[in-house]
Amino acid sequence: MYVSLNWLAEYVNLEGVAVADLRSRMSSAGLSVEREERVGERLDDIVIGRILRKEMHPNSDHLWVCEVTIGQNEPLQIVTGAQNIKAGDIVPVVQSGGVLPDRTRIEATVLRGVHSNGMMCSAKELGIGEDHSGILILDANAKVGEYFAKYYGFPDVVFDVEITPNRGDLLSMVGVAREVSVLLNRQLKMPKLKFFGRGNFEEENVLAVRIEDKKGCDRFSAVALTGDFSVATPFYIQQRLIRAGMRPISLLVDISNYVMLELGQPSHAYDARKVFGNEFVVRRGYFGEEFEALDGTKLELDPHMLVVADEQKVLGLAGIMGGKYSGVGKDTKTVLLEAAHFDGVLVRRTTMRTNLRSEASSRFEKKVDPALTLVALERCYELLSQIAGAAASSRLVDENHVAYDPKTVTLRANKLKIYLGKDFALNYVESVLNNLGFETVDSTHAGEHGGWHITVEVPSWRLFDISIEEDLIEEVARIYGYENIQPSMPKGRMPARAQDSKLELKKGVLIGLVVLGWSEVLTYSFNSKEQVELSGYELERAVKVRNALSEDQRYLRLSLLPNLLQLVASNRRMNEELKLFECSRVYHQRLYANLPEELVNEELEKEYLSLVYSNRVAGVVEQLEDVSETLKLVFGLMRKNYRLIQRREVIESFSSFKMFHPGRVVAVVLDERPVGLFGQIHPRVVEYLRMDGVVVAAEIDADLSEMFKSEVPVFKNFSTFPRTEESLTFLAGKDVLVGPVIERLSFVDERVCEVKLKDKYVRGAEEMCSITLKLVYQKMDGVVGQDEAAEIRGKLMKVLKDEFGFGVVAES
Amino acid sequence: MDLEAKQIIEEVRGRLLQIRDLVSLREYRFDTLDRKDAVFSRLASKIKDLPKEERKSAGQTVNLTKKVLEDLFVEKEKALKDYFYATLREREFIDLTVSPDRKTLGHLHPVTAAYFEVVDIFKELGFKFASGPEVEWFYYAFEALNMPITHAASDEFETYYIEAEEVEDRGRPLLRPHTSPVQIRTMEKQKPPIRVVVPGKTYRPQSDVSHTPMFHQFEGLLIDQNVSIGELVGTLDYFVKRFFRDEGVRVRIRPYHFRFTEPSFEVDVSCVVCDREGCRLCKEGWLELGGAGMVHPEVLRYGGIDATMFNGFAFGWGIERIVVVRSGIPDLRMLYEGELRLLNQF
Repeated sequence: MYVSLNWLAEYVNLEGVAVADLRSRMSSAGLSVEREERVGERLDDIVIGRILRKEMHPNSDHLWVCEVTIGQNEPLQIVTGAQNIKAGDIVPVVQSGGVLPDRTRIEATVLRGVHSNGMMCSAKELGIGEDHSGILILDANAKVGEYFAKYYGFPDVVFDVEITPNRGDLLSMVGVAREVSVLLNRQLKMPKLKFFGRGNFEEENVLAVRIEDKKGCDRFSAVALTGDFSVATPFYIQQRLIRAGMRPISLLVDISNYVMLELGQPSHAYDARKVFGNEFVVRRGYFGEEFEALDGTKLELDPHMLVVADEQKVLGLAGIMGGKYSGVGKDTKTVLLEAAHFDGVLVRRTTMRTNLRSEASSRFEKKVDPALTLVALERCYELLSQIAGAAASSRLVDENHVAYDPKTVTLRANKLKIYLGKDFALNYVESVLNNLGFETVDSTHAGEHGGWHITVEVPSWRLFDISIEEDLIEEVARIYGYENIQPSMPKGRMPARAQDSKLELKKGVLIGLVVLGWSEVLTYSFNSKEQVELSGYELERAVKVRNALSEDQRYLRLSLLPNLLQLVASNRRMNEELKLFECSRVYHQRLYANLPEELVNEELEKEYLSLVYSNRVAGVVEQLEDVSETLKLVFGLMRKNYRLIQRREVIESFSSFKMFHPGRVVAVVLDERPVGLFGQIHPRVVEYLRMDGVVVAAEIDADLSEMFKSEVPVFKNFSTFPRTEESLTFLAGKDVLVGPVIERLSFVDERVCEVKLKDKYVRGAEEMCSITLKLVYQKMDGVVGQDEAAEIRGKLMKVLKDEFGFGVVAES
Repeated sequence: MDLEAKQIIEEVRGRLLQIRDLVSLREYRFDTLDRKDAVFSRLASKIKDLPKEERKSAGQTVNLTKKVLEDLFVEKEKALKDYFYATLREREFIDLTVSPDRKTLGHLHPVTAAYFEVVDIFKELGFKFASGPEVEWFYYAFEALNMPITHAASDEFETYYIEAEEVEDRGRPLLRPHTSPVQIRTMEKQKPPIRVVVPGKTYRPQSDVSHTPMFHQFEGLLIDQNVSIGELVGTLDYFVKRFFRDEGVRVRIRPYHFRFTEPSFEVDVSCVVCDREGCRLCKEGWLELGGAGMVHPEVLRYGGIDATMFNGFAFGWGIERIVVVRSGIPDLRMLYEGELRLLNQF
């Protein structure tokens, strides 16, 4: 909302108030001043003049020679190229020697042989409007010879005030003035109204209103006015419209807009000749009904939209915009003025659907005081009777179904003290509330619990906004000033411990990954249909977004990998090595989760940890090992028993197995529970993403936060005797899985404290490979000697032979 | 004997002069003193051939000789080591001014880093981490937060809805447009005093310079008896001083409007760039950070808390916003484009 301070001063005396002070007072009271603009500066040399004569320039076919009086004895001779002026017009003038706001000095010149001793100015040249098509023509009764700035109150300051959605009442000059008057503790002056008398009108001049949807429109007031509406809109009104961000058009439109800006109540002017019959109908649109708005937008209506119509056609989209064919013009003799109270939600939905917005619709959306329809018409009447000599030519109709009960709210001293941390006197609180329009219904200085209380009635313009004690606390607090409230730390009891060990552990793991060279990325939770399918899931399992911004974002992801792989694809060219991870949630469709309905959907969101690795210069084994090593360290951080198993049925229990190379994938098992896959990404997927080469990935397909449990490490006794090391080589098939062998051997004898793969050598021709394990023995009560080592080795060899069928070929 | 001992000593002394390294020294010592057929052993073995009366003094000579020889070796070893250490720099110099390039450090995403930081800071004030689902119900996202069905925020233009049936008492499933539903979920599970901080993902169907369809918020909720606006300001003030790592930063509150708080505030922080002088980043020295307010009694009622006994405050800020402000990132969307040249700066 643009607030001209000159205009504001009409309702509240701003004398002696510094602009900066006013701005900060308003901001701290909730009328946040976003910007401030100064208009009409450096107009000191501009005076008001009247054109006495206008003649053709003797040596030009487009220049005029004017004689202009500025109140002094000798009129000025001014040559102009402007075509919009005539003798008798009142115009702003700068004499030769004077300076324009843009610091241009006007010199006496000779134009094609004729002397010119000044200049008449356009609005743009004065810096008070955009129009530079002609000379600015001032009010006919403006005082010739006066300084322009002094007469019209320049310079002006315009505040751009942010209005919160609950304060529709502040989308008006009077509303803002009311707040300012309370802040400055000065009188609020209301604009002058002209009331409609009973009057005797002919039958044919009886206006009627029929409201079919009383929820969409609970009040509709209208009247017909007749007058000379061809006169120009007074200069100050035009200026105020411009300051407010609107464009002056013609008297009737301007007055309707002016009153809306002043009071906050939109109204609309229809040319009586263009309205069929004498009844306004407020109804829902019909399917397929056509409507062309004032701005030329063509719409097809439907029953979700509310319209104002006559018997034959739609006159306007209720609360939003009038129709193109019912509007007023300079030749309008009789105007039908309407001011109604439309439902804000209905208006908002229609603006959203039609993309049609106006100053009126933004006011209805934020709710308009239902008491204002009549006041707005009375204000229009006052202005139009002054300016255009208008008189009512119909009886006023006021179809009023507004059903708001008077509302009272009570504020207690102790509650106010809790919130603001300070005692307030009743008379201070009462005067603040009264000045804001809340009438005292009841008040006591000392209630039962000590301290005063006050009950007030909520004014009509705050009905939608104020209903509880806290609302009144806010009213007092914002006038008192939040900056005066003393900050303090929370004083109450501390709840139970604030530590969250799961989160701590997660942080540790993520930082661990960072130290290992992995970079975290965050990608959108959305996937396209193709991405869901790529990740191996049936589409029905994914949560589908109804109003996605695009098809790329239609589903919620079931795996983090599609988006991560996409990032690899886009960053690969620039980076030889990419190590990316993400720890985010995936989302399962409720229907597929087999959960009882009473469970909240939290269970359907799991936090996954996924890693993708790509290295253009490393071999595939190297890359797999890098990721594998990372997993080992990460699970080490989590203090989890961790195994990698390559059993088909376990791997395929994860839907995302389809993303992996079938021969190079392994299931990660934590504490006997398979939690995810790790391996090389399937070449088909790599190709789909328009890449080539090897990409390695791991996705821990289980709720990490579930796995993060912080356990206190418990001391286990250790042997102080030296370790005995030896190695064992056996022959196995080419596709042997060594992991399970190592795992099994570790449990054969308690003296075996370490089994590690030392070497794996594939003998090409024989389809066999020889595997060398490093074995370490140790016990608590002495050194494992040669005999003992041989005994253990014997056990291990037996297991290798009996359970795996491997023959040992070498021992050392 | 004496003569022979003297000769040995002189010979060793002479040889030692030529020895230039510890290895040769140790070999020579072994040859001279320790070996079975060492020079010294040969001398010592001669004692047994001497007449009985000479053996005693010969034994003394041998012992003395051994002592002298040992001292010579110790002395030589010390001299060699001294020399070795004194010339260490020149002889074993390695250039360490260039870091190897085998391993590089990764990076946490700035939003995640801030996420942890936010939780840590509020933990200091006794706020416990809490979380809730991102696929939420209308009930928790709007209704229980005192937002009527007609509220603008619940429009399809402001909120993502899920393609699924409405459920009785919970309404339509949706993607939460704010972290505030966790206020209600927390109240359902806990009794006052409550202090929770809730960071998490949130969604709105918007995409422009200052909006991404997915973003992060953190919610704070404190419920107790007799909670004041001053305590809210103090809490936020503590947070901004810690988060921006500047004791000079402070917050101010301005009246605003949210359905789930009353009174409601817009929270500004004094500009971290210009220190309230006014600059291109801020508005007259203040930066808007987010919303806050005193929990609306209706919201407490929805959460099952007696609003006549308890009150409290809540706040909900964008994590991206505070990250962007703190680090001066020009375009919020860059955070989600996987732009490693940006991410690697954090």
